[in-house]
Amino acid sequence: MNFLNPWGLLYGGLIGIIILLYMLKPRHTELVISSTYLWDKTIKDMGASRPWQKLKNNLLMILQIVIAILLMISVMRPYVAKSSFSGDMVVILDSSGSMQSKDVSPTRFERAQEDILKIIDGMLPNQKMAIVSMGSSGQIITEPIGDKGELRRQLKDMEPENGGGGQEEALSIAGAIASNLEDAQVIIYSDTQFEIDRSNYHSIVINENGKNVALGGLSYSMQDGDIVVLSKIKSYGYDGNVKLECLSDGKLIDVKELDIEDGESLDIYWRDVPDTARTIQVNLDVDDDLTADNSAYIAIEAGREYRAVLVSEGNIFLEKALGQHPKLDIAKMSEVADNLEGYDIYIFDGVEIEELPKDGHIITLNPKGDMAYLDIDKKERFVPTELTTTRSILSDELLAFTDLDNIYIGSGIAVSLPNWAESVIESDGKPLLLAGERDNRKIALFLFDIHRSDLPLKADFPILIQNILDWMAPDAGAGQESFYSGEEFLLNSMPTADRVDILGPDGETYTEGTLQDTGIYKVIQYIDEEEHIDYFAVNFPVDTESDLSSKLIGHEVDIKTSADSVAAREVWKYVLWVALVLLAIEWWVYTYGY
Amino acid sequence: MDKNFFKKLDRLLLSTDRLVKGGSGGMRRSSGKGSSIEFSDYREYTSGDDFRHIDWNAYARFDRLFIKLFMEEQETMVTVFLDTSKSMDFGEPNKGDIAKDLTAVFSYIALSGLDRLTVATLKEQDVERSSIYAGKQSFFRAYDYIYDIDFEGETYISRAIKKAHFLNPKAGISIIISDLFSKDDYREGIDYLLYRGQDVVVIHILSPQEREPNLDGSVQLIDSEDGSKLSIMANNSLLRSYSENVDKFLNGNREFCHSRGIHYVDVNSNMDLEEIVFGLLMRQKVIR
Repeated sequence: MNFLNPWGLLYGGLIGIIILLYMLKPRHTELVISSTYLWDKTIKDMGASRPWQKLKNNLLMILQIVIAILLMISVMRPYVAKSSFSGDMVVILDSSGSMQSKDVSPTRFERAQEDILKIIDGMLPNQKMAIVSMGSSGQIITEPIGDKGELRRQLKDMEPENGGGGQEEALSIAGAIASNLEDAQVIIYSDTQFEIDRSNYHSIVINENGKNVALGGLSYSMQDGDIVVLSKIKSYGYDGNVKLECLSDGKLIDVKELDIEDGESLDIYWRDVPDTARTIQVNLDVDDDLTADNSAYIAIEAGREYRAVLVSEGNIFLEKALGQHPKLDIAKMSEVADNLEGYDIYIFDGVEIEELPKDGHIITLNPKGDMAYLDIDKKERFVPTELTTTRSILSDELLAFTDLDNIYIGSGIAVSLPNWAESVIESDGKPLLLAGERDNRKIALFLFDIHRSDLPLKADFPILIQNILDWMAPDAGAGQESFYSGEEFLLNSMPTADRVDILGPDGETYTEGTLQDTGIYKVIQYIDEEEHIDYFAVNFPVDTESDLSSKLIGHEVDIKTSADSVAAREVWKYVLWVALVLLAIEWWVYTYGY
Repeated sequence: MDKNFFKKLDRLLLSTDRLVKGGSGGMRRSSGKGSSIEFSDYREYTSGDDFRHIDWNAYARFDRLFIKLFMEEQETMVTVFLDTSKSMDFGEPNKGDIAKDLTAVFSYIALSGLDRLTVATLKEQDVERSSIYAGKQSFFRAYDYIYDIDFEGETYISRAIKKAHFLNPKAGISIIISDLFSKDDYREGIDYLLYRGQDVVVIHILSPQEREPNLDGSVQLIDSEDGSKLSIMANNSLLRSYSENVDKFLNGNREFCHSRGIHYVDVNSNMDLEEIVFGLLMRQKVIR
C-alpha cells in the first residue's frame, strides 16, 4: 500500500495530543468516603485480573488512539495501485461533431469528459497527463502535467466542435508527445474505435449507435430565372416521420412532412423561393440523437460587377480575353487620362504612365518609359530563348490549366526584380511575367509585347488572363459561398475596401480561425462609406459526422469499452468506515462501561 | 426523641443473658436490698448513687465520698463503647447521629433499669470514658456527654478496648456501636471483653452509601480517616464485587458474633430510630 498524501502523517500528532490530554486530565473524580476498608478488599479480590484491568481502564484511550491512527491513515489517502494506466498518459478526446450525439447520456462528449475526470482523480502524484483534442484538427489542450486541478480545468473547458477529420493530426501529435515520455499510454476517447497495433494505445469507444437524420447537400440552381433549392436528407438508423421547413432570408416560405426509413436518402426541392433571396435555411424537425445536423444553409450568389479600364492603342487579343470574364465591366481608353481613378482593375497596354492610379489592381503589358513608380529599373531589351515557368502558390494560381513552355516571344524588357513581385515566367533568369502585391494592390506585369509573340494565338492566353482576373477580382466577399464547420476561412476582400466586417450566425463579429458555428455569415465590405454585403454559409459536415454507428479505424488491438480504468484504487473510504465503527464502540464503552 | 419515646423506653430492660444461655428472663439484681452485708469493695461516689451507702467514716478519714459495695447488691455496669473515628461521621443519614442516638437510648434504658452506666469513646488506639452515671436523673449529664462527642481520627477497636481497665472484672454489659472499619481486627477486642466477663452487644452501623455506592467511571476514593487514596474504575463488575464484599463483611461479623454467643445487630443508618429500638433490638432480644 502506498500513500497519495504522505504529509497526512503529520496528523499523527493527534495521538500525542490524546495521550497528553489523558495525562493532563484529572485522573479521577475525587470522592471522600468513610473508609477504604471494603474497597481495599474488593480490589484485592479482583487483583487476579489486574493487568487486564489496567488495560481496560485505558480502553477509551486505546480506542481513541486507534481511531486517530485510522483518521491519519485516511488523510494520507492510501491506495492500491492498479496496473491499467501506470506511467504517464496522453489522452486523446474526440471533439468532432458526432460526439455531440445524445445516444450516450448526457452526450458522448460529456461522458468521455467524466471518464477522463475519473482517471485524473486516480492519478498518482508522479503521473503526468497530456490532453489532445481531436476535432476538425488535432490540438494540444495541455502538455504533460501532473497538476490535477489544471487538468480538470482544461478538460472542463473543452467543448465539442461541429467539424471533424482531425484524427490523423491528433494521433500524430499524441504520438509525438508520448515518444517524449517514458512508458506513456495513449488513451483515445472517441465514438470511433481506433485499432492501432501498439500495446500502449487504448481505444475507449463511447457509442451506443444513435439514431440520426441528417440534412445536407443544400444547393440551388436557376431554372428559367427562378431559384430552385435542393435539399438532401438521409436517415442513419431512423425510421419515421420528419418535418422540414424552408426559410428565405429568415422568412418561412414552405413546410413539408414526409416519412423516411433507415438508410434512405431523399431529395427535396423547394421552388417558391423569392428572386431576391440571398440566404436559404432548411430546418429538419425530428427527435434524433444529433441536432447539429438538423439545419442546413446556403447563400445565393449575387451578380456583382467589377469595373475595369483598358488603356491601349488597340489590342484585339487582350480585349477578347478580357471580355470573357462574366462580371467585368470594361471601359476602354486610348491614352492615360488625368486623375484616373474609381476602377477595380486598370489595364495598361503599351502605354507610358508616370504614376499609378490611386486605387485598384494593375495589369501592365509591354510598359513604355520609366517604371520608377513600380521600383523597377528598366534595362535593355533582350531576346528570350527557352521559357521557364516558376513554381509558387501564386504561379500555380496564375498558370493553372496553361502550358506556356513552348511559346515564342520575340523580345523582352530586361528589368531588375522588385522585392514585392515574383517572377512567373522567365527566360535565362530574366522575368517576362511579374506578379505580386504592393500596398494591398495586386499587380501583374507582362515584360513583352504580346503582338511579337505567339502567346495570343494559343488557348492558354485567355486562360492566363482569366486566372489573373480571378486572382484580382474574386467572385464574392468570401471567394466561396459554402464551407463546412472546421474549415479554414479565407477572405478575398475587394481591393478598394476600407474595412471588412464578418458577422457570424449569432450576430457577433467573427474574427479568425476555423469556422465552427453553422449558419449564415455576413461579410460587410465598406467602400467609400458604402456597404457591400455578401453572405456565405457554414454547414455541418454531414458526410463524415452524421453517421452515428460504430466505426472502426486501424487494426485490431486492446479495446476497452468501459472507463473503469482508474490508475489507483484509493482505500481511505474503507479506513474511515473502520474508524466509524470503532467510534461507535468507543461511545458504547463510554456510555455503558465494560 | 421526645417524651413519649422515653416513656416507652421506661418499660424496657437490657438483656444480659448470653444467647447460649437461652432467654431465661428475670431481673439481674437480687430484689432484696441491704439484707446481705458481705462487704465487697469501695468505690468513689458518683452523683445518683444511693447516699445511704456512703461510708461516712471513710469520708472523715479521706475527705472524699466512698460507697460501700456489698456482694449481693453489686449493680450491673453498662459500658457503651462508641466508635468515634472519622468514618462514623459519614453517610446520609449520618452514621454518627444514629450512633449517638442509640448510645443515648442504651444509656436511658440502663439508667432507668437502675444500672450504672459509662460511655467509652474509642478513639485511635485509646479509650476514654465518661464518669459513671447512676440513677435516671443522671441521664441528662450522660446525654450532654454523648452529644458533645466529635468523630475524629482513625480506630483501632481492639487496641482501644484492651485499654479499658475500668471494666468490672466479673460482670457487666458492653455495647459496641461501630461501623467496624477497624485498622486492627476488632474481634480480638470482643474476645477480650468476653474474657473480662462482659455480656457483649455489637451494633454495626453502615450507611446506605456504604452498602450500595453510587459511583461511575474513574474515581479516586479518599479514606476519611487517614486520607489514603484508592483509584478505581467504577464499572459494573467492580461494583458487583464490592457488593459481594459488603455481604461477606456483614455475614462474617454475624457468624463471628454468633460463634461467641453475642448479639450482633446490623443497622442501616437510614433506619428510623424507633424501628431500630422497637423492631430490630427487641426482635434480637438485645432489649426486652
